[in-house]
Amino acid sequence: MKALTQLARYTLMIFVALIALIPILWMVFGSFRSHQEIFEYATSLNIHLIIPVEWTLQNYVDVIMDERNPIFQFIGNTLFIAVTVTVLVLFFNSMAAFAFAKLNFPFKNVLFICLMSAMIIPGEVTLVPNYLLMNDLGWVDDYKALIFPSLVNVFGIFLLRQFFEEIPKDMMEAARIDGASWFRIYWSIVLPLAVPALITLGIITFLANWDSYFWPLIVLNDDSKQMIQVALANFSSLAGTEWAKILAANTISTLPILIGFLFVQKYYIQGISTSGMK
Amino acid sequence: MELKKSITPKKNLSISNKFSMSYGKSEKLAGIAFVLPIAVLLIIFMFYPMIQAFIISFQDFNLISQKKTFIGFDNYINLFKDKEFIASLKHSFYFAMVVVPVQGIISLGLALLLQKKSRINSFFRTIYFIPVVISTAVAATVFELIYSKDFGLLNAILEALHLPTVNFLSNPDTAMNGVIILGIWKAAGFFMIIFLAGLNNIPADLYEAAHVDGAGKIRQFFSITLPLLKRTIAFVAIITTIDAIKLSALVYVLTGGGPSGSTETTVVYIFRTAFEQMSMGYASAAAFILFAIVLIISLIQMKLFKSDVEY
Amino acid sequence: MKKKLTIMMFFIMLVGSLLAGCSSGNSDQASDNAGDGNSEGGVVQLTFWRNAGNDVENKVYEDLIKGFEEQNPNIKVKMTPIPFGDYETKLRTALAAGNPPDVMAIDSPNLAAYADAGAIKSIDEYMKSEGNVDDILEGTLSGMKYNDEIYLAPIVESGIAMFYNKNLFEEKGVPFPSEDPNNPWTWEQVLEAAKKLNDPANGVYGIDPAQGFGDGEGPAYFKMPILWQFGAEVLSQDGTTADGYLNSPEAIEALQFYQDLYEKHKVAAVELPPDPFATGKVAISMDGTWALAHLKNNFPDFKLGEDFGIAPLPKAKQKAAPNGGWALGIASKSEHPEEAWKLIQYITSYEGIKTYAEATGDIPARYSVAEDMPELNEYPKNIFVTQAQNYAENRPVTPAYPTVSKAMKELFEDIGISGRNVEAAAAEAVEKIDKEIKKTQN
Repeated sequence: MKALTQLARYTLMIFVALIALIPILWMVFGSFRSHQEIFEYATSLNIHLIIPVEWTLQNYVDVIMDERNPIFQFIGNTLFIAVTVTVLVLFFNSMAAFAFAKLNFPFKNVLFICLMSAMIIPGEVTLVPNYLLMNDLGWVDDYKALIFPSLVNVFGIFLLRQFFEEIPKDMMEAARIDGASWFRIYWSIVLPLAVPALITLGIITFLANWDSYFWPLIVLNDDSKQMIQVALANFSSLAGTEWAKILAANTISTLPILIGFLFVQKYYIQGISTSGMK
Repeated sequence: MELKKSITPKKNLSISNKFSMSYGKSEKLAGIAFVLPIAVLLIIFMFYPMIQAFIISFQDFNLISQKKTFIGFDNYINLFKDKEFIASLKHSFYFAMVVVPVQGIISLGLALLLQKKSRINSFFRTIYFIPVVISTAVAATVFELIYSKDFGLLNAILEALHLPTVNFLSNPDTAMNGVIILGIWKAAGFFMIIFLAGLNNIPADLYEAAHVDGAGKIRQFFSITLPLLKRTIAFVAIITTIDAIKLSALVYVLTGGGPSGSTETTVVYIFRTAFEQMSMGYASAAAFILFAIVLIISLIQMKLFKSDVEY
Repeated sequence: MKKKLTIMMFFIMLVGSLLAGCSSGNSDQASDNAGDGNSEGGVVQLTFWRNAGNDVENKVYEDLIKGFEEQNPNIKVKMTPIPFGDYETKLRTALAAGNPPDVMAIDSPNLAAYADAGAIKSIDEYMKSEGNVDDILEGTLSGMKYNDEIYLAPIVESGIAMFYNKNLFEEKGVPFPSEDPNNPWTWEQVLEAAKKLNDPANGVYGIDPAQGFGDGEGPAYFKMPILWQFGAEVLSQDGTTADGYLNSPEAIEALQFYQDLYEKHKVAAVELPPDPFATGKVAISMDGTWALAHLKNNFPDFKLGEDFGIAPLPKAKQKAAPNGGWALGIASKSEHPEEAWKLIQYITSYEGIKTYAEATGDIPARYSVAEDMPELNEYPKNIFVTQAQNYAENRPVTPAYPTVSKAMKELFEDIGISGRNVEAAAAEAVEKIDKEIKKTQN
């Protein structure tokens, strides 16, 4: 009976894994195919649906050697922005989340509703006013326009507050009595306990910036400064979509993230189970 | 970690009033200092543009002409008579009403499946997280291929099993379900992780005690897991509701709002109106109607979950 | 306490950098808006935005800019190619903020909306005095006008034709269509062929009549010609109403014919995977000049002449082909209209267009260039050229065009995908269009 439930469990797990994996397998294997092959076999059940008939590295050569679209430069630009934003987001938003979770201060509820509102308003409608603001600040075509407006992460404040609330208040009060400053309590008691949450938020913020397309498209004019997703969009034109190159370029830009995640998730899972919140 | 030992409940603190007063004051000051950076950024980069958008919503504003005329509530009044706008609201709400519970249950299920700490589980966690990482455009293309009515895999499999075939993307009645499946596929892994974090906060000794008392797995789930997970569930519910009603990205890449406008959600409608029809004022008014609706829903949700989530 | 200091420092630094950003930004902007024209040496910086094309198009644009800068050492051009799908979103945001580029590419059917809003400048005088307008294809030039003034300068003309899969035709014993652009197949002949070619059990559909159901301007561009071929119009000549035009008996006949392809004869599929024509999933497909390069680069084993052929667009009551495309205009806000015109003049001159057309294989917008490119008089390019010169029609010129385009897209989806009653769908489209026209007239 037990063996049977185990079997059922693993079958389910593998089934879900297949559903999760098929598109990425199609992408990675597809990147080793010629354009002409990609959709030839895309519509029937056979082995070549996923596995290339004729393997080729040409797509990678095309994408990497393309002088007009230096993919590694775009990846570098994006990496710079994503890391900068992630570090700053973690710092400022965890501070705010700490205050919301553990401190009483005037206008707390008002501010919280304001934050909620900022999360609810569709970005499409603030795009033009935001662009005007960037224009007035002289930040058009400047990385500041990508960094500063991304620093408020309402979702992050929500998530972290959630975690911080679990931390017993008496622990902090004891520290207060021992003369610790609020900043020290935040820095050396609360943050270490919330490492898993910080990593979750870090991953999400990083991914969001890695995927950001619309805002960089609007505020950056100099193509050498552009972000990776905007560069990828340039593989489509009126004439058609260069699928083979898109798949290769996407594989190049996704694999490092996946490997990074594999690495971080180990730490992340450990973090959860050893954080030992009481 | 000397601090841990000297835990004393606040009410029994035998310290002078003077201390508590300064405690309160310093707490206030600290609170303000901690939220100040975020508050400043919020005002500059979110509220200022929002207020401007709000002003625009009372104007007849052709996007590219820079001519703006104040027209009062006309935009709002016309929107309530606009069939397309009402339809787009329906599409958004249909999406949210399906996605919020279904995605929640699936991601909680995945979290429970992979809750135990083991190598195999952490391997599968990574795999389930992959859809979160992969480019939406690529994922949408694959889904389009799978869904395709006459050429797709899904129907090939259904036919082989002698089941009725579906045509998600060309049937206005079912197209939204195609978007829903892609949406859940893309996001379930992420919320699985949020649930995992919540599950790991439930002390293991509670389960042990329940086990000793002879409670089965199912009873344990309903009497321990669910109640203690309430906070996480509230969080996931509120966040996914907001995100689901604001759905747009998946629609752009999968259906572009079609067929026959059947997947045009409110945000897609707003975008089209603002940037294709160039009626920025009208689009802004639509956005604020949506804003009001979502804000009310969120506040109600917060009230409902109030026992654990303040505010 | 030390930590507190650190965080304070951090915050001060943040604010400092913010302020520094503002001030440096302001000075940048000052030089952007006013200074650059009059800066030392008198070098003018022009900004030029366009929608990114394929590699060849991007390359030839870079070459043209280089050539222009060599000829005009006092003008520098900063060209930004922008992803095709979102080009107009970016352009319109910049226009809304009053910060547009000096020179920009605009899709001709949208011209009226831009001109009516005062976003772009009339270049009528420049064109008439220095643009050699008599050399520009007549149909093309009329698409560059709004209220009888020229606003845009064309480089190339677009064109579509009927692509057919020779292998599938031979397999089913269907004779090849006429390749004479003056005497094309009728839609009835095309339908007969499509019925014979249709083989859904083996994953082959007879025809993709107008590039499926896409987004953006594509649907209007590919589908309006069907109306024209059946003798219908979308709007009245003066552009004031769709009533009596889009719901005329001719239009209903065209729409019914289109719907029958999907509903009655079932020779067309509502959902097609990417590149269905090149992978042999549809036998007949209407596609543009640009598809030739796409097929050549990406499907080297699918050869023109051997595996597929090109025939002129079918006729019904008359022959008709769409025209119009991306052309260059100057922003009203531009501080350097003279220099901007020089750039446009350079690119749209005989030499500029020749360079461009020879590289991309597109149809040049000037008669003189077409005459000097022998391959344009040979199959298959002669089909596109003859259609563009003799049978091309412009999409309606009206500031309400964005709504017209959207209504066309929705109309064909309604009848093609949802199988709605043709007359009811047309009536609804007319209502939508007329409502918007009324609005823009106020």
